[in-house]
Amino acid sequence: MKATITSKQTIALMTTSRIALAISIMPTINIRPHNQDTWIVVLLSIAYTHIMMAPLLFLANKFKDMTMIGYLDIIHGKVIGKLVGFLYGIYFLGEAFNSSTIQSELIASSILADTPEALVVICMMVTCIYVVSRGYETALRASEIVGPIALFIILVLLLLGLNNFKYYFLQPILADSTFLDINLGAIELSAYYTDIFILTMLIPYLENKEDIIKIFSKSTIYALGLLAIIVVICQITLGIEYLKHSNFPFLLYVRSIDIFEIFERIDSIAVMAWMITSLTRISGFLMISVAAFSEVFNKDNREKIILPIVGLILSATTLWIINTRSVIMYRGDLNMIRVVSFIAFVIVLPIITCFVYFIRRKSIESSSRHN
Amino acid sequence: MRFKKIILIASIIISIILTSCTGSRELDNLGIVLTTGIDKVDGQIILTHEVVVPKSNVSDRGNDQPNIEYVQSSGDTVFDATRNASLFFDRKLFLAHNRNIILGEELAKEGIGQIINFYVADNEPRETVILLVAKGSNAYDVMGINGGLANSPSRYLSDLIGNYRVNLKTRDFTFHEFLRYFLQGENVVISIVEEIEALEVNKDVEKPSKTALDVAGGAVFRKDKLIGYFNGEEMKGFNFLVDEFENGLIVFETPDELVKDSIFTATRGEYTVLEVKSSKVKKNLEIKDEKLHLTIDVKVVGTLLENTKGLNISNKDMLEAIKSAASNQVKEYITMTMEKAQKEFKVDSFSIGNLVHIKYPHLWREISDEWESIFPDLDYDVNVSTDLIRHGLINTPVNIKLGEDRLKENK
Repeated sequence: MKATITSKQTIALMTTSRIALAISIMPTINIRPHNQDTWIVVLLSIAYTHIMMAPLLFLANKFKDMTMIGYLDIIHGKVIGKLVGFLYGIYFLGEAFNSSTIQSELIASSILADTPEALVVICMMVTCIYVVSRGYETALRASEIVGPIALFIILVLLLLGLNNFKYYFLQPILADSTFLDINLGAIELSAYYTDIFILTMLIPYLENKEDIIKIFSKSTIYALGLLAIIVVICQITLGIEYLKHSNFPFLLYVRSIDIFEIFERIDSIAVMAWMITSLTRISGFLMISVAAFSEVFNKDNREKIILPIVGLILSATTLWIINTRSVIMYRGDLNMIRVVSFIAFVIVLPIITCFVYFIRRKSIESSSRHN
Repeated sequence: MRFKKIILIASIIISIILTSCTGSRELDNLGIVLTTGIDKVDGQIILTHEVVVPKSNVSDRGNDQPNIEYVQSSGDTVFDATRNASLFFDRKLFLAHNRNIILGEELAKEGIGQIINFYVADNEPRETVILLVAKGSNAYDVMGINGGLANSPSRYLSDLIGNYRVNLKTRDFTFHEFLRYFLQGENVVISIVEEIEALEVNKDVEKPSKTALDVAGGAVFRKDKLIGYFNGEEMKGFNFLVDEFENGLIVFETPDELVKDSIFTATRGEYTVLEVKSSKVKKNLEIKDEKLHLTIDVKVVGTLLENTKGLNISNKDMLEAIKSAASNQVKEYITMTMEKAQKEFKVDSFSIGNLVHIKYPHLWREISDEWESIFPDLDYDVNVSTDLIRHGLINTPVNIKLGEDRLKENK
């Protein structure tokens, strides 16, 4: 029986997955204009995210019964379709790898500094592989339950910093940034919203396929709305410059909480939220990566050959990287790879696919009817 | 079924071997640091750690020995000095419970930017640790002093600083706050500590005095260098200026005209004391005659709890006069602090530069580099309004009777 997932479950997964980055390295603070107007950039990026994802959303709406790997086959033909599908599989795996290295480094440098990295990575990857092995329905149901818990914890933590807030750090508004800076920042931030692929790969399993735009819009607004709140509160607590210099801003924010002499040293509560969100993000991208490779190699999900291979590659590369270099220190260099791949996979390839679809629309539609 | 059995066995094995023992730190192996003193002598960092010995170990050491040990080590850097302590002290120093970091005066004058990095980068020290300067001495000179009832000198010191909530002659300044303002390019004022001799009242003790600590005042920094101190009264002005004055006292001389004009006023006693319940400070910048002008509006709400002259506070005019005298005192606190900052230190410790940035961002872009030369000549006005909302449990002071006696004598 084909798994069915609800819109709420998908929104929960996408929102939780997006927040994982915000409460770990918070890339937003290193995006221009690098000042107190960052929250405006975050809110503006809701619009840019919709614009940039328009080709993917258009294609998803046109091919509601198949994943994006499926319609790539139909639009570009078997060979090119499989090749592009394979590249997408690698891209998804790259996103999972990016998250797993960041999370491993976060643990290794702050929470479990004396624990061997190998143990951390193995525990993390075994959990993610297990979640993915249970299938879409289980993974999504889990995110529907644990996602709101993580978001609730984050909101409570944001309130507990109240006595440290210095509101003047947010001023002057729009005086130190140019219109261009704010817009470029919003565009750059939109490039971090790669969670749309979770949606594009899960469409065939959606209970209500008419909800694609609604799911995407809601998850974008929830995630970026919460991100704006997180950024504002971290800025008014730590100050703009201190925040910019920190590797894990949200963790630093939580470490500064000291209220009523009861709520202090509550990093462990933040760790709970961080574990839920990061494991959701890694599992999410691992899941769609496995799905992409399975479809490219015509393997049924139940055969479970792809998952161990992909899981092993992800674990081994994560282990290798975190033992050889700091991903967070080199993120400036890695940013270029991320931006180029984002442009390629989120903008250029979908636009080309849309273009080919319009050229071959008649033949595609007739072959679809024939099938 | 077979798979489930394997999972079950694996779960049992995992639950036995993964008992959170990896990377564990046993209490017996740790030297829990409660206070760190940092000094610099001949280019070497000297660290003095107050280390607590857990209770069970105290009994091993005999009852006559305290449960505190002092460990001093040196090195080229703070981290190096911390690790060097392990060469002669048998426990690994554990910094997560550190309450205070005391900076020696000489080190603070030289600049602390180069020594604080370790405390920011390492995950063990907490950002909520209190940062202090040892006024007129080395950091280790003010360590090991317990003039109160706390169970350790460290606790004694952190409790004294914690008392700033009821005595605003000092302030509670954490490491986190230091970084917040320092990295923002603002100048900071941090807590101070100095050794004092206090009278020993207990006659069972042979010495007539005992050593205690005093935390009144604040250390003024320009960037990362100590440049001087505010005294306790000036710190009141500072706390008003940064809008953090609550529960402190305003002690002011009772105006003479009240005594002369009222037959219900006793002449004995000089001061009236107002306990501030809340205060709100609004700083407003304007450009007047092409110069920046700062207006400081203060609104104080308080309780009149001590009235040594025996004033009849049910008299409306008298109440107004008291409010006016209290306002004048607040104005004096603020003026005193501003004068010292402008004329002596020539440094903006009140984030007034930030006000210029907020109100006149374009102007700030032009003058931000010269702000230190502009600030000493900044014109300002202070306007204070005081409201008395409580008068304690009595409606007339106890010595009002003296006023009545005076009246009879005059007759």
